[in-house]
Formats: sequence, C-alpha cells, structure tokens
Amino acid sequence: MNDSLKKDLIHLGGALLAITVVVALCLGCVDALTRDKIAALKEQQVKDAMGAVCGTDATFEPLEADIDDETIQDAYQIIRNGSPDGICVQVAPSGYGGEITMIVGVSGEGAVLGVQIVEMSETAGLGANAEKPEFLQQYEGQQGDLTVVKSATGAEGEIVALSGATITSNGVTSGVQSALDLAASLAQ
Amino acid sequence: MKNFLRQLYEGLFTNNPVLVQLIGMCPTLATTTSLENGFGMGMAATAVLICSNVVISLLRKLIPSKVRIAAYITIIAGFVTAVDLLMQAYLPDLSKSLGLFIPLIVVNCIILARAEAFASKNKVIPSLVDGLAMGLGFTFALCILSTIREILGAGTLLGHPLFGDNFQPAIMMILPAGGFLTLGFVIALFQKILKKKGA
Amino acid sequence: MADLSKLTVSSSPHIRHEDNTRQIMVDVIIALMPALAIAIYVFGPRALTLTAVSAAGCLFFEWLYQRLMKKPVTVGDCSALVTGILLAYCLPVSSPMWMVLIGDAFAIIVVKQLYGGIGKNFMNPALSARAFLMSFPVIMTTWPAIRTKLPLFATPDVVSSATPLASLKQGLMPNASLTDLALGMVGGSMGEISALALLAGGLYLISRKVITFHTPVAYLGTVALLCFLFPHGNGRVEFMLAELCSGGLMLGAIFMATDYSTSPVTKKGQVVFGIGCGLLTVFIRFFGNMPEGVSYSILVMNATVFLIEKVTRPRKYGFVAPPKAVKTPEGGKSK
Repeated sequence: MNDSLKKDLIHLGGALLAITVVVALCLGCVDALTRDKIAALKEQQVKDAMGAVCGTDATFEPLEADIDDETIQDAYQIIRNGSPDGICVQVAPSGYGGEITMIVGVSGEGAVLGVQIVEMSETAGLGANAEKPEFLQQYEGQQGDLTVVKSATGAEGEIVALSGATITSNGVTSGVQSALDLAASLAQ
Repeated sequence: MKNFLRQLYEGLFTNNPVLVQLIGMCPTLATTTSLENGFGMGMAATAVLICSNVVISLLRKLIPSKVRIAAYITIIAGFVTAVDLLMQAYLPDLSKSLGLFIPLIVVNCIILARAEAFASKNKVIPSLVDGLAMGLGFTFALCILSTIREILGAGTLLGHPLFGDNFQPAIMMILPAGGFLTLGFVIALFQKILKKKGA
Repeated sequence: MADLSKLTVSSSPHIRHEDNTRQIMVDVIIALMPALAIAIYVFGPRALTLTAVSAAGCLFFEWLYQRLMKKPVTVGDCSALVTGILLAYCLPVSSPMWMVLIGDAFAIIVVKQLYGGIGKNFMNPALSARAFLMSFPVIMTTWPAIRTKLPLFATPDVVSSATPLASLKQGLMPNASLTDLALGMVGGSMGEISALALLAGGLYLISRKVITFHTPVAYLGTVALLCFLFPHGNGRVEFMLAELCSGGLMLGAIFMATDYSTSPVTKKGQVVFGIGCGLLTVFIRFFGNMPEGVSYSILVMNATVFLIEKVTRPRKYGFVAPPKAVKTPEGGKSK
C-alpha cells in the first residue's frame, strides 16, 4: 500500500468517524432529554387504559401465575376494596397490520369488564375503527367462547365484525379470548 | 429577497418535489390518509430537510467527496432520530398515527436529493431557504392529496365529519389503491395548470 | 388468352367480413340475455332496472367524456353498453343506484377513456369498477336472499344471506343442491348465479366465432382440475362441480377473461392466460381472505398480458431458427 492511499484512507475514515461521533453525541443528548418523558407517557397510557377498563377504584398487583399464552404480555390482579376481584391483562394479538396492543379486564365472575386498545397499526378507516366504543362495547359482559360473525343472530358470545375488517375483528376477539381463558384457568 | 421568493416559488410549484420531480413517493402515498397525518409528515420532513441542508452546507468543504453519501445519510439519520424522539415525547398522538413512517424519512429521496444537488454546492443561507422551500412544497403536495383522500375516503376533514349520516365514504380512497389514483389525478391537474401558466 | 374482365383486381385484403365492433358487441349482449332472464326470475324486476341504469350510465359517461374532450363520440359501438351490463352482473341486486353510477363513471372514464378508449384499456373496465366499488364493503357483500321483494329504484334495506361460495369457504357443501347451483336458484351477485344460462351464452359466442374456446376452457379446466385433486369436504366430483358453478367463475371465464383488449391475441397466449386465471382463482378461494377470487385473478392476469404476448409471439412464416452452436466433444478442446 502506497503512502498516498494510506493517507487517503485515514482522511476518509477520520472524517466519517468524526461525523458519526458528533451525531451520536447529539442523539445521546436528545435521548437523555426525552427518554423519561416517553417512558412516562407510555406508562400513563397503559395506566389510563387499565383505569378505564377496570374502574378508577381498582388497584393492581402483578399476577403470579404460569402463563403459556404468548400473546399475553402482562397480567395484573385487580384489587378492589382490599380483596382480589378479577384480572387485568395486556395482550397483543396480531391483526392486519401487526400486533394490536390492548388492555382487557376480566371481572371476578369471569366476564369481560372492558377492552381498550393502546396501540395498533390497522388500516385507517377500516381496521382502525376497532378503537371505536361501538365495537369494543360488544365485549363487555361476554364470557365463555367468543365467535366473530358478519351479522348478529342473537346467539351468545357473538361479536359482530367490523365491516371490511374481519381480520382485525378476529385479532381483537382472540386477544379478549386469551384474557378470558387465562381468567378461567386461574379460577379453577 | 428576490432570490428567496423565487426559490420558494420553485419549491412549491414549478419544481415541486412530489408533483413535478416525482421523488419521495413512499411517504406521499403511505401517509396521506388524513390531512392531519399528511401535514404532520410534511412538517417533520421539512424540519429534517432544513437541518440537514444547513449542516451539510456548513460541512460541504470538510466532507471528502468519496464518502459524501455515507456522511449525508449519517447526518440525516441523526436528525430523523432526533425528530422521532421529540415527536414521541411532545406530540405522542401524531407520532402514534405516523408510526413507522417517521424513521423512514431517512430514506426519503427528497432529503438526500437536496443534500446532493443543492446543499453540497451552495452557501448556508440559500441551502436553508432551499430546505424550507422544498419542505413546504412537499407539505403542500401532501396536504392536497390527504385532503382529497380524507374527504372522499372517510367523509371527514381533520377528523370532523363533513356530511350527514347517509354519506357512504369510498374506503378505497384511503387504501393504497386510492393513494395511487389520487396522486395520478393531482399530478395530471398540476401539470395542466403549470403548462397553462407557462404558455 | 382468358377473358379477364370478370375478375376483380384489387389490392389485399381480398376476403372481407362484415364483422365490426357493433356486431360483436350486439352478439355479446345477446349472449348475456339468458343470465339476465334468470336474474329477473330469481331476484325480481329490480335486476332489470339495475342493469338498465348501469348500461345507461356507461353510455352517458362515455358520451360525456368524449364530448368534453372534443373527441369523436363512439357510443354507437355499444361497447359501453356491454361494460354496463357486465358491471351490473357482478354486483348484488340490492346495490343502490348511486353506487352503480359511481362504478360506471370509474369503468368508463378512469379505466377505459383515460387510457385511450376502446381497445386501448389494459384492464377490464367492469371488473376494475367492481374492485373500486369494494370501497363500500358492506353493500358489496350484502347478498339478498332469493325471491326477496325489492323496490325498483330506491335503496333497499336487506339482510345478507349466505352465498354458496361462503359455505364452500368454510369447508361446507352449500345448502343448495347442484341442480339449484347450475340453474341459479341461489344467492349471489346478480348475473353470476346461473352457470347454465352463462354457459348457453358462451356457446352462442363460440358458435358466432366472437370468442374461441381457448380461454374459457383453459380457465375452467384449471379450476376443475385443482378442485378435483384437492377437494375440501367429501365428494371430489360434487365439490368440483359446486366450485365451478358458484361465484363469478362462469361469468368471468366466458365474458370477462375473453375481453379482446385485455387478453392475449394468440391461441397459445389465451391458454396461458386462462391457466393463470384458474390458478389464481383457486389460490384466492382456498387460501385468501375473500371467498371469491375471480375478479382479482382476471385483473392480475390482465396486467400480465403484455408479458404473455411477448413470450407467445408467433414465429414469422418461413422463419428458421439459427442452428444451435455445435458442442465440441468432451475433453477435446478445439484450438
């Protein structure tokens, strides 16, 4: 290797290294500025959803149980007036555009208290309608096995699919089902 | 001042990055499902574009030309990540709905194209103005597309319903197919207007 | 020397046929009539008004566009009429009229005229319009039960009933008997229900030499073969026949995959095109989210016609392939 090439390489590498270091330093500063805020926001979001689902009088304790359902990310015991009353679960079933992160509350009697969607990337106007209360309220009070149908026939455990978004509806329903199944297995 | 206005006019109309240069198509098609998203994407890209243009223009004599693309990408990626984190912290709702597309600004060709074609050859102030002009042109195009798509595809504007309950939105318009359709029509119309003005 | 005065001397072409676009289109319309009759019988007079509105809408939009763009008005060739009828055939009979008109405008203006008008569009206008109308997924998947009383023009409020394809999708044999399926006494899109009526139309078109048998036979044959080899549920033959008679398969194979401007010119190309459509239809029906795959498979194949034509271009008459390079015997390097 001749000298001029060596010099060239050192020059190029040095320039790139310098740029990278400066950029990394700046990013480190931005990250330090925003990290706590982002984490707090995320936590607040989950907390808000849990409160909305289970009622503001509920407190939560981490649930200690073997969970072999992979879609369940987090499970809490709901404590109301000092005694356990149902569970609150964070599940992430897959929808049409990736995972749908949602909070499902199940009462001590094994019925769905409520469902809230924390994060999803479903199609706007179709699957994203799953966030709407008209859809999510269908789950309240349901227990046992859920089925997704296109139009209501009045049978028990029926969830009317969002029009044009069957996959999203199936995803959300399977998430709720996971929570129900977990509650049922704990009750045994 | 005259130069400034001319650059702005070029960025918005005669040399609009989306409608004339046809670059940056991916975010254009993907994020224009609602006016809020389109505008947010446009503003985020504009912020990155201005910053990267200024920095690259400042460093234009220091960056060796053999590794310039790598250097540009590093700088752009740095700004994008910063914007992404700041949006997550201070505009959580917008950041949620734009999701994946903010990190993808890194590969938005508009930004690299302006760095290569303009900022690396011009002084800081013109580069800043160029970043602003091109960014606004991008935002302008995104706003047109997203307004049309939101009205036709969801029946709303900025989330407010525009029509009565009987209105059936054409969902296709906020799906990818509608993005291509709208883009085609808007480009055709834009070209027609530009031609008329030129003639 | 023979008397030449009785011979006409002219330049080629010497044999002329009075075929023109209008004649072909009229034949297609005649061939579509049995299916319309069945639709009226099964769904009532609304089937007729819907078809009429759709056809009139297509004619109107073609006239309007050509007028506005100051182009020669070619409404008289009846091709828009065929598009309108075909579009109506692949909609549920309860579709509101405004939606039909949106479909007409899309088919004629966006898909046909913007690409240069008749013969220049690369996708089937009626099918593209149907794909666009999927914008209204609820309307497009609400199939009224047969013999429901429906208003002539107003938008009816109906409850969806199961279609044979939806049952097949769930791995069940449809409720209807095979005879009902073949005759069309089942729910579904307006003009697709009766396999026999559509087949009769197809035979008429073949006998009039408007279409050749290549595309439909390749298409239906592929679907039949795959369904026979990989049946769902019990009874290979029954499953195969049920799949063949359900959904838009007959309508698509006979009337849409054979569209002149959107399918290959050569026989070989048409066979390839038909097989492609058949494979995609079965794949979508078996593995896709939607019960029906005919319209999308034809549209996808429409987009590949250019490539098919490239591969199946006929050889020039008298063309001799250049001799292949002579292989040198192994080991013996020539110097």
